[in-house]
Amino acid sequence: MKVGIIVFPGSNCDSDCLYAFRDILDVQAFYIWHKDKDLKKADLIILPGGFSYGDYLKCGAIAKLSPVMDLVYSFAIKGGYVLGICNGFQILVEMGLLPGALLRNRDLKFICKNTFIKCVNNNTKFTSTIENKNILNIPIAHKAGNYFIDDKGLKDLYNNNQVVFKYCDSNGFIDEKSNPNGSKDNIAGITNQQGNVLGMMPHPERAIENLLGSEDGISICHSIIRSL
Amino acid sequence: MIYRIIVTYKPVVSDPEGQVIKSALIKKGYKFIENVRVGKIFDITVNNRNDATDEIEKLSKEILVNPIVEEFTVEVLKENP
Repeated sequence: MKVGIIVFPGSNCDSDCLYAFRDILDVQAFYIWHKDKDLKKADLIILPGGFSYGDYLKCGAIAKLSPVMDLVYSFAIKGGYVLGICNGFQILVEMGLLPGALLRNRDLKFICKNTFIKCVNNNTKFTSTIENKNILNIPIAHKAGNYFIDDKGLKDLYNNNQVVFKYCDSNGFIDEKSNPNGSKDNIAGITNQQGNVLGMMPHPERAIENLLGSEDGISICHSIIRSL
Repeated sequence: MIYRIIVTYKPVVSDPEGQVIKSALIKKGYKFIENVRVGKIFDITVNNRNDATDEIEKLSKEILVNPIVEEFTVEVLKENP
């Protein structure tokens, strides 16, 4: 298995992703510069967190125009695995690979803290090995993570089982109090209809070993490795 | 020619920044304020040529605006001399 991590000017979680897959999981992983014209035969493409192009215009709006993104788009349409984390999720939404939009947080603040998320769909390529009542302790770090989708879109998401992660409390209870940023229905992560593209605001790569406070993120990586 | 593109959130999308500004204005005594919505303005200068409105609308939809949550208007700010 090969993991390609796309690096934009302003990406800042690229090395965390590389560390998670290459050093912790012993998987072949490498960077792909945003101007490259080759995905180097990667089986999984990661769009990492950060502030691509300084978040100018709209988060992810300039990154989607980078030369390599045409390749990422075709790769995803053909069924290739794509994981977008934080800014990566914003880019996927801007590209139209995932529905909805990510607005500024309800309280207009940058939020950097540990959150609990509940996996509400284990029947995906990204979540099949998640255990422990499906509750994961994974940090968020964003200012624009307030997931928005209109009512019809929300219904479609549920009908197609595309909602994967929801913010919850430590017991897995999903309510407004455990919603850090105002996201519709506490949504923290969704897939596309085909299930090969996942976008999520929490950072699994920052919860990869106990030294970091949690290793719950590793189950997402394990799921992907098993699926491939 | 200069085109002005005004981008605002759709009415269905909540605008927390607008709400904070509204509360601040009311706190300051401007009690008649009912609502505040915040938007963005792009002033785009194009080279001297004929009407570019169609292309300005196209690029707005493609790049400047997120049609899921935003709407926009285009006006001509300055005509060619």
